[in-house]
Amino acid sequence: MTVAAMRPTVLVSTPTTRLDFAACVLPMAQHRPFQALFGYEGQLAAMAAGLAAAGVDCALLPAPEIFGHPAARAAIRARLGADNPLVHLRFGATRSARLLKGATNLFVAGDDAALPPIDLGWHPFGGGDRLPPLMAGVLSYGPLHRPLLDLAGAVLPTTTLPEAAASADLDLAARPGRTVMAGLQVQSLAEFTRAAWSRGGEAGRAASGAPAERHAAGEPLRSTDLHAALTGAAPRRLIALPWNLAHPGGIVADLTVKLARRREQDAGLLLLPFNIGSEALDAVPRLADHVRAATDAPEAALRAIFVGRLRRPGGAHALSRITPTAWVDGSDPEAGWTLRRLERLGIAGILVAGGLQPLLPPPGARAAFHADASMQTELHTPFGRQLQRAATVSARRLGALLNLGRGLEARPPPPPATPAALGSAMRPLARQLLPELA
Amino acid sequence: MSGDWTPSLDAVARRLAAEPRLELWFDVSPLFDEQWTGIPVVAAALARLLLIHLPQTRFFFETTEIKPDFVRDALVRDSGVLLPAAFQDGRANLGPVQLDPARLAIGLNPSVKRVRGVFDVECNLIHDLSTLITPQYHLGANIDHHMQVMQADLASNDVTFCVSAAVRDDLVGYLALDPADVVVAHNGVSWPERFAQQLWNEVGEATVEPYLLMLGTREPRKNVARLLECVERSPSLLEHCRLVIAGKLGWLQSAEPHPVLAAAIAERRIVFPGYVGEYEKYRLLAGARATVYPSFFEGFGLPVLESLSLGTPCVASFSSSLPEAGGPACVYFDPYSISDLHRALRVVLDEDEAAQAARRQACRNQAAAFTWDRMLATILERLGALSFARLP
Repeated sequence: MTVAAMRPTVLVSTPTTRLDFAACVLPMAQHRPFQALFGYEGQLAAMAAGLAAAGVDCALLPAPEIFGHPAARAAIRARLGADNPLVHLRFGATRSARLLKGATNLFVAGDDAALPPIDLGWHPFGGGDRLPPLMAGVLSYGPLHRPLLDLAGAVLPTTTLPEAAASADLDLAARPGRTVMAGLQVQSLAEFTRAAWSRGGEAGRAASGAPAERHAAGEPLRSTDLHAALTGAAPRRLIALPWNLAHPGGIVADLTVKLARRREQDAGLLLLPFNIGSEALDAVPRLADHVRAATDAPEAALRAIFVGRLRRPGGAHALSRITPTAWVDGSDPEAGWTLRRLERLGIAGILVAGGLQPLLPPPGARAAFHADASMQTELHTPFGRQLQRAATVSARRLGALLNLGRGLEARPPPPPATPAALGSAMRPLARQLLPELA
Repeated sequence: MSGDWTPSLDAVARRLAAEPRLELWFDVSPLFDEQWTGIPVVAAALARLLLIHLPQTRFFFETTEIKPDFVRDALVRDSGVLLPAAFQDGRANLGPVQLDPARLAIGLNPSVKRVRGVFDVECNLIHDLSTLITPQYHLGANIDHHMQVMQADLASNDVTFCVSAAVRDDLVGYLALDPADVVVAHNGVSWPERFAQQLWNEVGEATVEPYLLMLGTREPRKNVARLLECVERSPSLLEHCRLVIAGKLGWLQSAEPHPVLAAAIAERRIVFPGYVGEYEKYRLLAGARATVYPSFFEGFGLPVLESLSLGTPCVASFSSSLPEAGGPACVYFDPYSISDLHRALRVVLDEDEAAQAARRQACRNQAAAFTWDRMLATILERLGALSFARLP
């Protein structure tokens, strides 16, 4: 068999600081995301599920950048069981784009509209719109407000992905009527321990003692705080708040502190952090400190704010049972993708954004809320000094935002696409990646 | 390396020395480190050869010319321990770098540049793009520093040298450098002749208790944790071999050893001797049953080559440039896989005497292709070609 006639293998990777992978290349079944719902880990899972439906299996390559020598690629191929040409799909921020040399590299763009820096410094990828020259093209989940370029400034060829590529993992994992949120790990800020989250998985669950799926299934919750919040004498409404930890200039911390300071304690938050690096996880205890410092009754406030993640998509559709609505930070470069994921789960997403023009809910959002305040964060990063601006909600307008949410209920999630429908939607992309399928 | 043609260092140096309109300046800033590992070792090897083959070479630190005698003194000591003080009080200095307008000045920087745009022809040697490609293994301040200087260095270079094809491919793949402007000059390996005699005097034909050796600064990129975990899961490895992990404690790494291995450390089956000087390194390498190099990312992998040069088998990860340095002589493994590391160790440890002898020879053969002479000849050949073309 000639190389051209061989079927290429698709390898997928995300930015990671983890070193605990068991091998240089892993089957997708061993993909263990910190947060399966949102962020680049969710995008990777959705893409892999969609391609699998089209008959293309992916493999996970944790660190493509370190396997540049032909001997390394030969070892990777040997582990894959075939001497195939390699296609590498890279997820994550442009600034973290990495290459597998000797493969066809494509960048999958999940975010958009990165804010301009005020002092780029010398980092070649500081601006957020450049990719390494060996990146052959871009696959985008939606229209990009600014094109992605190579280092010389040439626009890279960009293909918009089919809708199925954004939710295939959720569709394939959906079980109609299922009420158990398998894989959900929730801790209140009062309970939060970084070690449990770092361990992740079952260890994290054991440490939290708080599998919320039991509540959705009618079983008593083992998390005292979550149980009290949802079933106590004055049950609280929980609002989901996706939290992009790779976007430190966002409004999540600001909204959380403002809600904690409200006199009326009728709503709680379920923060859903994503794009979690080991350092970014420090953001959670930092937020707890902010809440402690900003409120009169810090312990009560901390017990009403939860941090959650879904390790696998199986129970995602039941999430709307405890959080029928979600606020989405309009300044988050991944807001569009997050809204589409929420919509797929039946959760009413409210986009919080500013601007002079009246806001219309973008695709995936059930409503838009006009933010009346602004904040800016100055960041010193390896990519240069950045001033990130975001539109937020003032304390006095927070009630209006909560009222908007009260008028929106979770809808039954749209019926999941069948594997056959997904396969048919994803096949053109599969053919583009792997021309011999045509 | 096979198939590459490099002119002899003698021939290249003679051509340069014969042209009075050229002068070569060599940046000695890496030699200011007290403990020489990695880049200072490369800089020292090049400085030694320049003093022999191009004795008219002038040395500089930032914008100050340094007396050759002080460079020689540091080279004899294998340490820059005295240089900073001698520079501060002026004893080592010849004064500001002053270029003769009638001559074409070549500035050769063996690492990052401390000054740019000074010489008529400028170049530097890139050792790796680790701060760009694997920033997770570095401290923020280090990343900032390298990002600031690297782009400026590259932009001001007439030609860029790098220590491996892996680094060249990174420069081309990530930073869009024209491959024609990037020259691979592989690191070399050599030992002072006295080391062999000294070792013979000390050890002679005495049998040394078998041990596995890992050399390198202890930092996450070096992946020491996998090696320790491998030993922890297969304690039988320590029944036949001790494990020596030599190198200074770096960054992002706990000073405390893994608690599970505390017993083995207490029994001296695992030993951490800390930083070792050049002779101590030689002695450890020469006596080791095998060396282990599980690193996640390297620009070249000098310890691999040093091991091979003494006929000591090396078990190395197949990451980044390591297969380029080790060639067919090394046994490679997946740096993420403990079981693959264990397999590779067993390959080496289970070899019979004939296989061991054949491997030792293969190791020496591989290392013989990498010499400092060849590295400097490659660099000077390109600099000469550039410079001759610019002479009036």
